[in-house]
Amino acid sequence: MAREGLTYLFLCRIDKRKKLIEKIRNKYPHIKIVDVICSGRFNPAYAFKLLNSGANGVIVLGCDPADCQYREGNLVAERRLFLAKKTLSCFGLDAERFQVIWHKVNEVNPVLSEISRFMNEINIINEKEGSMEKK
Amino acid sequence: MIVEIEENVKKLLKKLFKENDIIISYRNSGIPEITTPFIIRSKNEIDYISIDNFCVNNLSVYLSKFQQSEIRMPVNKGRVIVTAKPCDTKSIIQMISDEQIDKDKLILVVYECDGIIDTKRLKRVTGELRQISVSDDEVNFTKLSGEDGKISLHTVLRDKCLEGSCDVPYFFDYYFVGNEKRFKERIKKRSRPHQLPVQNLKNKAELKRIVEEELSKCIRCNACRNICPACFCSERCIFDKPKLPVGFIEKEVNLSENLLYHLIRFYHVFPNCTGCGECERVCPQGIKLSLFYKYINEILVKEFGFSAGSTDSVRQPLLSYRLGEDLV
Amino acid sequence: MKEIQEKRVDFLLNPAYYFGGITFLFFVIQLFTGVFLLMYFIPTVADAYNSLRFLSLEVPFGLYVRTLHRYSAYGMLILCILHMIRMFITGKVAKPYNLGWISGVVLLFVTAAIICSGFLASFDLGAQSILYKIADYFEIGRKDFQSLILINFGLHLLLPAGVFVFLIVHFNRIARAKILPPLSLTLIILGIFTFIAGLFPISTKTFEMKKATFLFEKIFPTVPQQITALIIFIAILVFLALLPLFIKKRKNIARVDQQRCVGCFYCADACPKKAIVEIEKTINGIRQKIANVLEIKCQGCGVCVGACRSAAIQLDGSLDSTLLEEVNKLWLEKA
Repeated sequence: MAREGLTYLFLCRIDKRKKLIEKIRNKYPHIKIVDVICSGRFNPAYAFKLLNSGANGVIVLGCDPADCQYREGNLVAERRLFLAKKTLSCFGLDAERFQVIWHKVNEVNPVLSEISRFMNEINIINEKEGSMEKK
Repeated sequence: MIVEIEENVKKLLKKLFKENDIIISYRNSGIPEITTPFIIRSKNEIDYISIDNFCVNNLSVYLSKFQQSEIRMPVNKGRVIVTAKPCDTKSIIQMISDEQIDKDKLILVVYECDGIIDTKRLKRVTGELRQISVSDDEVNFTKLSGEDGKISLHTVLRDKCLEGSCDVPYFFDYYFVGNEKRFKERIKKRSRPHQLPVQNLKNKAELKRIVEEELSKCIRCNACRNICPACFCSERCIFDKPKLPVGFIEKEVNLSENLLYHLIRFYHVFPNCTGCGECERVCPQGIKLSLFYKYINEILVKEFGFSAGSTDSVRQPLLSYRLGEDLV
Repeated sequence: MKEIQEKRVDFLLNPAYYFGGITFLFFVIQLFTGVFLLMYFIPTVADAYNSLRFLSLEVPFGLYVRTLHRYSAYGMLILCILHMIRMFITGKVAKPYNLGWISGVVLLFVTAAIICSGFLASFDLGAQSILYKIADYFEIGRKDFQSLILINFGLHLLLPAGVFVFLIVHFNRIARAKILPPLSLTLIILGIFTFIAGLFPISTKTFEMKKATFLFEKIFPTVPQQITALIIFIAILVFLALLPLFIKKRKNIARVDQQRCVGCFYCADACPKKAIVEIEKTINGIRQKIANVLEIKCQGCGVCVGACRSAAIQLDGSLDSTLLEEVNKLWLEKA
């Protein structure tokens, strides 16, 4: 399966993360950003659909446990996302392409470093796949 | 099957039955090795009930109020009486926990089952049958050609019964016990720790190949979805593309859409699946769905201490959270 | 884990969050101190002033109770206005809060009326000065004063019942179930308040028959001016009460499609505000239990939408289909 080279970032509280979004748009133009109001709103079926169509990766950026504006949305989401990862691994898809990170709203640099780490991992996976296909 | 069980169940049902009640049980279909579900609305039909080693259907699927059947529990003024095997009661209890069944209107008659015969396995030995009967551990059959034969019950039971998933159910209204010694033996057999077969495949490429091979066979008939007790959305399922202009999957049948369908269904059913195995039994293409659904329960037991169908007072783990849990 | 608990505790002890609750607290203080004052006050022309003088100078703690009564009245009015400003800033005027807002405006009016009648009931020099002026303006004889005083005092006792009635409407339409602030905060406020009341008792100079005037009378000395001020005040309140008609901005609210709800209540368990309840409804001839969203409590986070398996609950500003459309569009965009 050819990877289309697009990564998707679903994040919450987009009005408070404007700086982060600008930096991501400048550094990684092929990361598409989608606003979900709270990480609890995210339905893993979106991730399944994207990864199935050949997306490079899907990241969900939620808030720290103590930081959710809506009290507990991110805590409710955590178990759901865990099951989503289990589902992906049960069906043989790369569960590493689906990553969930939790950070406070005003943190910019830690998020960027995690995203770059994720992109490196994805590149390694892509290379492995490419070499396997050639075989 | 132990004959007394069938007689005792019929006696009890005749005593319990009132006007407007509905009984869901089994009856013989006319073909010797097939016993089908049977819905009774009048007392004189109770005599046609047959409870034997071929009662393979999980009757809990008829209880969910939105299933495409004539039984709608809240509308029916009377009660619903179900004769269930111990393994089926797990599905019923899970549905009660998910608020799909009205517990007050349900009367659960559980009978201890001797083991269900896997007809495919049986037919490999016997061919087409004219007649068949089971007593104790022996299966006596007459082939279509007229030949008589005898085999041990143990050799033709389905895998699920050999593993002994017949725990005493969490709640019931009436419970008919057969052979207590054999029941205890069967429970003892379930000693080995289980793990999803797919997770045993360490080699990811191998797993991927198997998944692609199996799911290419899928014709998206939705039989697995329709028979599954945990899929209680039935006619309101998101795959039927309701008013949403953009749905989750398209109608095309190809590997990509099939994979998406199964991914989403697996994720939805994960917390409620009791491992009844009906999905694999009804698949017309013979897809090995047990690769994915057989031991889902074990993952939840390990992570959250939750076993689907074990109790109706605790809801599934996705609806709660523990502070400090660091899962993903 | 400690982090989350600390954050929750901070959030809940912020006094600004409880302006409404503190207003109610002051109302309760007024009720209790009012009962005490009722035992000593005599609503007649001759004795109104003297009974109060007796209460303030001779009865132990009499002046203290009067101080509490008056300061809690001020406090109630000020906090009522602060509460109203906060509700306006946080956008709790439009639907579904409109009934709560209107009942709040009416409560403000009734509170102001009670305070007015309270001042006039004491019939001290300041009250006498205003009342005589009004009586002369409207040509009411001095001998009718007794009935006027009685009517005024009757209003002062009856209007709190009106406050109760409107409070029931008001409480029915608010999102939080608790009315008073948490116990620790309540005790702190009571402590500070009683301490300040002890330090600054109300002046007893008026009993020495010196001329005393209200602030109100100083600003509006003549009766026509007073009447105009009253009319302007009522006009402002009417305008405030009509605000919900002009402000149409609505927040995102979750909505259940009743044809699609399966009745599993995953959404109800997932909701952080417990805003989803069970209702029974007959749909397509079948009586079933389905989910219903309480619009007032909903905060528009969408966690219920993420929990629903049959796409039965949707968020007004963020439907599943629009999100999928957006994702499709981004997919077609390429890099």
